[in-house]
Amino acid sequence: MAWLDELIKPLSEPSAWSYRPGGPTAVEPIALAVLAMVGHGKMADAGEALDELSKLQAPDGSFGIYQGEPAGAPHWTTAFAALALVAAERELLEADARRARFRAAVVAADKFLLEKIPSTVFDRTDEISHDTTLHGWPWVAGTHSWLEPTAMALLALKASGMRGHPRSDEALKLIVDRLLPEGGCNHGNTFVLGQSLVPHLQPTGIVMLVLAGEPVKDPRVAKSLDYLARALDATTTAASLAYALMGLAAHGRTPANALELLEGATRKPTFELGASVPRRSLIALAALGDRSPLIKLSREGAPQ
Amino acid sequence: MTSVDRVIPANPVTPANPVSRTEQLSDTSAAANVPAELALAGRLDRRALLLSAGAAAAGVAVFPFVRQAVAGTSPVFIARNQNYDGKLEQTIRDGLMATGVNPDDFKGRRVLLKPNMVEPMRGNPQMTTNPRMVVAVAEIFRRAGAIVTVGEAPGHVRDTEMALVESRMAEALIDAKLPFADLNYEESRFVSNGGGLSVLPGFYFPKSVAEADLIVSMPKMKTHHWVGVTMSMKNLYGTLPGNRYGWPKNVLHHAGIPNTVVDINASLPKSIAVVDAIECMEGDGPILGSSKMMGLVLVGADRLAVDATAARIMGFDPLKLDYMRMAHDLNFGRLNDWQIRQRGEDWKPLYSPFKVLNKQFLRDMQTKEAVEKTS
Repeated sequence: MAWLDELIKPLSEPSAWSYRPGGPTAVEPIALAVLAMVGHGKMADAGEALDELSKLQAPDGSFGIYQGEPAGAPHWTTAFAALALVAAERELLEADARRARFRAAVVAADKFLLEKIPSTVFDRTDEISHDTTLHGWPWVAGTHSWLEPTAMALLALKASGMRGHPRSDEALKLIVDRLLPEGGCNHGNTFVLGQSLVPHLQPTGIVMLVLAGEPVKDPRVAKSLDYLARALDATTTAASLAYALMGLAAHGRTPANALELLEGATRKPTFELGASVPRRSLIALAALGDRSPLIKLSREGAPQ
Repeated sequence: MTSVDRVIPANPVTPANPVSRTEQLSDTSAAANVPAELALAGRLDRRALLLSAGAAAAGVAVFPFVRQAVAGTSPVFIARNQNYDGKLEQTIRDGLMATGVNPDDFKGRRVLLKPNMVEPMRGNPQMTTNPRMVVAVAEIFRRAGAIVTVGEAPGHVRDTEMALVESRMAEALIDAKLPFADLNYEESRFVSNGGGLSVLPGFYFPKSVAEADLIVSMPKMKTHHWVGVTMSMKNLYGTLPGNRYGWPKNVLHHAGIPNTVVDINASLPKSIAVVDAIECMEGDGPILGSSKMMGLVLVGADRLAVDATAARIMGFDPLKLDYMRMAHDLNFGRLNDWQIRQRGEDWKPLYSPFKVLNKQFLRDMQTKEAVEKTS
């Protein structure tokens, strides 16, 4: 597929490692670029990006948004970096010296995720219906847990074989608790002041991705997958589309027109608006279907 | 030494939009959490704040809205019978001129337009600023020779492309060849807290915000189920990047919504308000409320005066809205009706109470008459 090749080829260039053209290298975009290259069997091309990503790790094991973040800055990006390094490590030959380096980096990142990003819980109230007593992961240390950082941190722990950790169990419980009654989820609120909120594709896709292989019997999971399948169409924008398709693929429900939708998303005039660079990696990842490294890591990390 | 109002979260760990309460703390206690210079800034009046901030930014002191602020009253312009197919550019230009903002003063300067695109859904146009309003303001400043950018950090969604498409902003920006700054992911710069009401020492503002010579806050006139109304001051929450504050911007919620609203505004002195009050939202705002047609456009350089006027039209008592009262106490702008000079239409004939969720704390923010009319 020429369009996909064109999308993947520049991922090895530093220009693909920032949020916007000409911007500084940032952890989330470079981690997504590495994951896409690894998934497409381009390990040789990913070498420079992996070296650069490794350099972004702070001595405490964290990965901030950019290199050299001040104390107290957010570190939700640590999970993205850990996932990229695990995916790469698995593709390296036994004798490759980088394996040990990546493993050490992942161990430090996981330790940081488990010990250094506290979330805040509080007593349940009538005003907010989700279980506010559960710990997951916040966007910023010390604040409440929300779905995307919790799902990505859980996915990173699953990738490292730590699904059995108590934090993983609680995170899974939190994720299921935050699903909307009719399926899907938003950033992580369900009912506020008695009013049910509306779902969105990106968070729902991410949550379905992390639930791959999990023995969750809650009917809202099937409803969420139905929502994803129903809501996707030619108007769906790139990031939402990519995560939604990964969520569906993680449960064996890739739609027949997935590649057509993905190619269409890259042709939209809006594709270049805003923080556009990471969209290329996300589209490339979603084009892998269930061969995406994120799906493999989620499935293999689930309880067997 | 007098005491000051200091709002702290009702529940210090509330995750999403905590309801706040007011506690009386001494000056000493209030200042304990912030550096001395910020605590002092918190007691400066609007004039001093503007002038001191302006002195730090070359050329700002010549801007008309700064000159305007030295007067004891603030003008607020209201236009009625407006619609999105009408002559918005002319209306808004009239409003700017009537409130002391001459677009020609911004020739060669950077003007950032900040609409509200919190969680857009195509079927709910009452939630987000109408793109035609944004293009109209852009044309006014572009014709004057300003460098115009539209920027927003959608508060609830990570996929900014989706927010642009669902709000129909994308096609408008592309048609008008207007650049868009994705404030959720732009590199940011730390700016000291200009208000000092919250515990936050400062804010990370995206480059497009920090470097703007003028920010035009372009909110939708809406009810808000935690703080009563959301208008030009609350809209500036969307200048802060999600990658540093979260989706939602929970760091601000934990520090208290009303005090961070004031702090952010006090940290962005070079801002004015142009309110899309044509199709508005009542009930369960700011996301799930119903459409209410008002046909109004409000304009002003004093954001508090604009927001207070809008609140009065909606049936709220501005002094009962925590962030407006706190801004008033800080002398950030004019809140009292007698200090606001109405340009264009007077607000009183336009009064049309907005419905709110049937919660006592929201009823307490409405005027007695509005409670009766909307119950």
